Amino acid sequence: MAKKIAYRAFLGVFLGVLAVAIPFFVKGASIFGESFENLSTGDLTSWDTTDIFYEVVASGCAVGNKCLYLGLNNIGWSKYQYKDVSNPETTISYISVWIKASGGTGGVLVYPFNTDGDALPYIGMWNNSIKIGDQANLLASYSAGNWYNIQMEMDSATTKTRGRYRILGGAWNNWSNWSGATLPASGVSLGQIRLVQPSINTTGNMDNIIIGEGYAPDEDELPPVFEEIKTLNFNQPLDEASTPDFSSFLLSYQYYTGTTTPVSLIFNASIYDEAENFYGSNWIIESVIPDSTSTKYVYIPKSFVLPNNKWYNATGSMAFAIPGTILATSTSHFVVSTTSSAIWQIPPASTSTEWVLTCDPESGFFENSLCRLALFLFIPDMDDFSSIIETWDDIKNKIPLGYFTASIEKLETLSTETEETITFYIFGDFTNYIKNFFTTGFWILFGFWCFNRIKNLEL
Amino acid sequence: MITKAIIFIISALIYTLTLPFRILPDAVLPEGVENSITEVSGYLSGINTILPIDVLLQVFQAMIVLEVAILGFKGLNWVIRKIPGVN
Repeated sequence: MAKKIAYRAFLGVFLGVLAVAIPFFVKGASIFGESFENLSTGDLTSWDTTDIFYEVVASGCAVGNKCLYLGLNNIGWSKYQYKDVSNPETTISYISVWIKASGGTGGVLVYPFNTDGDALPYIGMWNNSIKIGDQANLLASYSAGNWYNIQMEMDSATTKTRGRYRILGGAWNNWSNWSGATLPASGVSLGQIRLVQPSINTTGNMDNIIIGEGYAPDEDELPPVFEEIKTLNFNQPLDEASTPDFSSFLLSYQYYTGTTTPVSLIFNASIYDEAENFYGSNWIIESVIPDSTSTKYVYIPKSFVLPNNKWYNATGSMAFAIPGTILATSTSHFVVSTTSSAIWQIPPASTSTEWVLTCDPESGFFENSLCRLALFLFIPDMDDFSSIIETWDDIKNKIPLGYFTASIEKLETLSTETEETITFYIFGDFTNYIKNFFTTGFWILFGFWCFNRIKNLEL
Repeated sequence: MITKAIIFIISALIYTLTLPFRILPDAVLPEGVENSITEVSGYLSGINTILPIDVLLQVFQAMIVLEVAILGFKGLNWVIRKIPGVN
């Protein structure tokens, strides 16, 4: 009894410590990130701007190829551009940014505002110092022309902040103490960031502006903008009991995306028979504002009827798209069959047939003996071929054959990835007619070439 | 037995001929080549909308197989002619 109580007490303490300790070891996940890699100066007009001079440049950046350049203006402080950002949902949140200033005086700042429009402590370079709000300087004198990564963590429960910095290529300094002298009463929620150039004396650069939930990670973790579609399941067609044809398709899918911009989701379902003859396809487009992770269902309506009692390959694919650009695609294959009894089936398991020849013992002594002798002399076991097959396996990846193998594998990978494009969805039937025409033509030409080659063969 | 022996001889011959390749390292495509294939694949996937590139590749493969078969046949003939008494 005492042992049981002691065990439970130990388990309780252990789990309690674990629950308290986990938040200290879990690093944050970014919910907004701007690396400027996919932006041009023209794209920045989507940010609300005043007369600050800004430009996306592709030289001298800290991370990646592009960064933001903030130029000189005539007035100085309070000139900024700002962008609405998602509010972190966690108690602890952070802002991380790479900043470079051209000189010691003046500076460049990332100035966050909460959802009530109240200013929060800023981070950046100002008057020879790396600062977090009005806290003690993180660094009394920075080196002009060098990139610094500055991070600020915010605690909405205690309304305190702390910060740290590192020079490009260097190590982090220690976090400053938690402090909260100037935080607004409404807390440290976040709704907007402003990029400020507080002086007419200094130009600056910014890169990898990140807002995240939880504690700040040591390395930049930009949120995924459009990642590959995570999963795409192609379920059995609906109404399988009532109609033996493909009446409609149910695609269930899951995807990741970190954007709040509406995108088009393009769904396609195509049917081929076992000989890869195309039977038909249908597609729909949905415009959605994606959330971070989601599993949804979409119905692709009936547009064609198939003969019964055949096995078919059904291909379901989905693509994220903004006008003119496919951002990510995913394809899933599903094999189904329609039968006269209108039951959808999975394909039968393939069975390998062993090459076994036997003699009939009832055929008589002489015939049976001859049969056995013939088998012994002329019929090899399948194992006898294995050494040849193994030889091929051994050398197919070696130089020089390996280059061909690797090239073919790479091409096969790419052909799988690039399967089905938007063009197919829209002009599916028309392009298939043309492709079939060329396919037939190529094989006819090949036939002529074969005939001519063998006809003129010199042995 | 006889067929088994023939397969064994062929297998040993192939093994001996491929022995130098076994000591070589596995081939890894240079990054430039991989990038080139990726680049070309982008163009091909566009062309593939109208022109069936996969069929074109199958035709090329069939042509190569035929040429290799003809070459093999000629080689075998050459070997047979080396046997004394065979013209």
